[in-house]
Amino acid sequence: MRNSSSGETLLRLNNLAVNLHRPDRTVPLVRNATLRVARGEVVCLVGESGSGKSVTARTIMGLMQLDRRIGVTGGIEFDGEELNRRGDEQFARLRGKDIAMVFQEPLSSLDPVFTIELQLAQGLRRRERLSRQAERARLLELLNDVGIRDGERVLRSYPHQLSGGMCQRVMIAMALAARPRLLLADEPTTALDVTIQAQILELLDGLRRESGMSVLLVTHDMGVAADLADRVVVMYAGRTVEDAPPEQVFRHAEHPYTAGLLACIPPLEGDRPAVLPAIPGSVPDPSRLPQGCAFSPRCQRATDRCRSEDPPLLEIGSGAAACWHPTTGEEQLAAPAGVSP
Amino acid sequence: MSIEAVQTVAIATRAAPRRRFNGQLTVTLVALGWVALVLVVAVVPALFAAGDPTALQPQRALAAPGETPLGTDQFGRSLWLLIVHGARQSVIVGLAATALAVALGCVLGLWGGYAGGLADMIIGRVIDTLMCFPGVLLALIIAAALGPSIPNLIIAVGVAAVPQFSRVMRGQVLSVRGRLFVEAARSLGFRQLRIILRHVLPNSLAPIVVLATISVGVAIVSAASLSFLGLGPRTDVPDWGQLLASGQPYLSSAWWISTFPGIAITLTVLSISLLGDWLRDRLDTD
Amino acid sequence: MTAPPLLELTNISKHYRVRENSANPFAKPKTLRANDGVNIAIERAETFALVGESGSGKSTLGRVALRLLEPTSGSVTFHGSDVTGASASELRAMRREMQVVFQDPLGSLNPRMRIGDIIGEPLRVHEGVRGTELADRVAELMTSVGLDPGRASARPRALSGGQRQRVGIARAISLHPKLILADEAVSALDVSVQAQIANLLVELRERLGLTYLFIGHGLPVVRQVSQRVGVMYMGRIVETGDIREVFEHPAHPYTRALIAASPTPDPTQRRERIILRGEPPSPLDLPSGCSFRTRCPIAKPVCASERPPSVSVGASRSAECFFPLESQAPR
Repeated sequence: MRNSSSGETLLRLNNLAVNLHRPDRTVPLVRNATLRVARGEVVCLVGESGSGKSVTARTIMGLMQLDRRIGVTGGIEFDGEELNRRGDEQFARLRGKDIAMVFQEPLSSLDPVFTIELQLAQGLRRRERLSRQAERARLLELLNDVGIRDGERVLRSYPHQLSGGMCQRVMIAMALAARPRLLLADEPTTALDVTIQAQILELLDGLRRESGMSVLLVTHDMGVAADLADRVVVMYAGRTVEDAPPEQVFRHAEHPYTAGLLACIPPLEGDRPAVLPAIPGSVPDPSRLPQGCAFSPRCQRATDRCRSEDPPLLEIGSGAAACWHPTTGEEQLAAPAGVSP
Repeated sequence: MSIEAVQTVAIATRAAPRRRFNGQLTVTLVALGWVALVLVVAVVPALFAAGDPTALQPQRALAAPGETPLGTDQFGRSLWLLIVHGARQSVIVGLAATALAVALGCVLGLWGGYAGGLADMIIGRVIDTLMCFPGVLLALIIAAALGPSIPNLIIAVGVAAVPQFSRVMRGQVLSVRGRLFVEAARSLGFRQLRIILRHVLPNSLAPIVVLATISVGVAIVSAASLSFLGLGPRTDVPDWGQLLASGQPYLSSAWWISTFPGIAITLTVLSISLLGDWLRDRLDTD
Repeated sequence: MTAPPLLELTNISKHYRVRENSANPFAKPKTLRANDGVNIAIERAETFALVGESGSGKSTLGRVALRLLEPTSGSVTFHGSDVTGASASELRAMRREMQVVFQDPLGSLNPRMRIGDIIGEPLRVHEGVRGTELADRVAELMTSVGLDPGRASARPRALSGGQRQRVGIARAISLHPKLILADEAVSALDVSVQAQIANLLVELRERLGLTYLFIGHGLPVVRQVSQRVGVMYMGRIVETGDIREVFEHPAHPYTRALIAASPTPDPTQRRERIILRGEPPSPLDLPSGCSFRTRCPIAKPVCASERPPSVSVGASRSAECFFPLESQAPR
């Protein structure tokens, strides 16, 4: 078993690949997503645009498979069951019940012409039939769980009458209505202000602790990952490049991409660097990936091997990285004496 | 890959694949061929059918297709000659009327949409009023008022098509005007005229181009209808509409008189609108 | 005697009349105070940052400063001349000296133009540059923002997000402006590209002596590129001063909460946050007194009855609060 972290496995992705078949060519949206989510664990899937992190989450949910031009290979193992070999019903049964999803744009995920009560009740009725009073009580309880105190007013409201943060709470309540075992959260706070983001992250953390639900949080923000993650999975150009506990990722990342991504976030206190150590170039287009390691054109450590062979995901310390020249051990060698405080 | 590439992917997952049918290309090429042929025929009809289309040969009146390729009309004129030589007028009227409609419609739509306020209100009400009349009825009124001649026919058909161009243009301008690059142009201190011509207009034109191709076909039909009703110009060579009309009394005895001009009109209009479809697909993916 | 500031905003207000319930034509329109009595002075060759959450009025203020929006009241002075009272032609002349870099790099570029034409257009229009001279100047501008001049004939869509923003920056500096409004200029970019653009903006400021009004919400990047900061909440600047001092020792409770909520890539710092209760108030129904009091952890009755004054909390630092936090580090 690759991941040595404790806890029973709930979700495992093994070499997941998602291809978009176009008449002229095949575009690899995800090439090799490999990760594991244990029960009660928050795994943060971090990456920039085009890394395939959102596609991965949508594939787990079974949303990508709805398009006939999408081909999915590799394993999606949920609670010991292999999902990818099953048909649509398999996904349909799990979707919204054992696996629920929260999206980036809370306002556009809600239907503008129905009240919150109606939309929230719809999700509930799929699972349990209740009397009117019992249903209302259950809805208020759900809203209370996501920190909404004036539930009566919110139930009567239409989505546009609520703020973005409030809509996201409603979306989370909706996802929780079926008591899922895995919550997929695709950039749930990206559209929100930081003070509201802090509230939502706190909420997700609390829900996880109380219900033992697992969370796969997709984000582009290393800071969000640092705040919440039990495990961090970094994706680049459609594949997992690093998978490690936060202590390891944020202390000394093994993959040069992870290290570079962290280095280019300026500090909020202390001295400012005269020039930020930016990663040169830009994220490659999935239909025009470079040979070998997809990061090699932007990597200072790249050698001929990197430019010809794509590195496999290899175990390093308590994590794993896909790199021919991980930074292991070189920290001490590279850092000149007397520079670091 | 950038943000919109991700969006494209997201959209692609929802929309069913378009243009799977490769036959569309074939159909478009055939349509293009037909339109090109009609244009060449309109310019140099003599190349295709030598002879005087107006020569009367009463002894051969109402001859079925056979000896003369498409038969003759009630005066014994060869239908083949008439259709080939009548193409010019139909094509000229179709193109000129559309050009007039595009020019007027774009100016009004741009003006109203960009200026807003009183100008927009006045232009809007006038267009609304014009829109109350069905296009052909409007053309009919104008043609009747101006009297029959080719320029008047062009004006009648063209003006009747102005409202739709103006409407589409105004809507485009309203959405383009609010886009960031227009604000950027304003913040760069450019003059209004430059902003309108260089930034707003080119980005508003795509649906107009498509509408124009459809409109050429419609204009040919409208002109034909007016000619059919006797409001077209009195010229030596009848246009396709007049031919169609003149065959009407003989539909049961000499079907070919109306049928062949009818086929010519139908094929031309169909081809042009197919080209319009193709153009729309192209421009959509800019 | 010090030189006067390059850009001075005095008592700027921007109000909108809004009908809350569009279905009821008799409803009394309410006033939305997007900016309410804002004062800023920006010195030459500095970067002044405006930070705040959505609805704080920071973008409105930036547009008012360049008179892309008309203020309801107050005045803007740029380089000694009155912007708010300028005629259309005076304003066009002034616009050459104050440029904008927008948040959405793709949206701010005309999709039907080639990038060489986009960058060269201001030179054609304002300086009448043509032909090979224009091509040379465009190539020079492209090089100076890190673009390959060979790509001049590409269209915006063919470029990556970072490259597009470089095009926007090249266009903005083409006329040698004194002031650039960078309206969330790095917010829409990927993290790794953000750093490149932030570096470019700093480099250009130093090389060309530019002054920036930098609007942003990602506090780390804002701190990296700016000297001073104004923290906005509900249309007012609640705290202003040297950005490092403000971030290190915030005086206004809102500033402190904003900084605490800003995620940092350091797992040891988690759970130190002050989670603000509740939501921002509706801008149409601001609370009496201090706008922040409904969410403020240290609000007292006086905060509801009176608007807090702007108090000095250190050298050229001020905060609008009755109970400013300990702001100066012990010396």
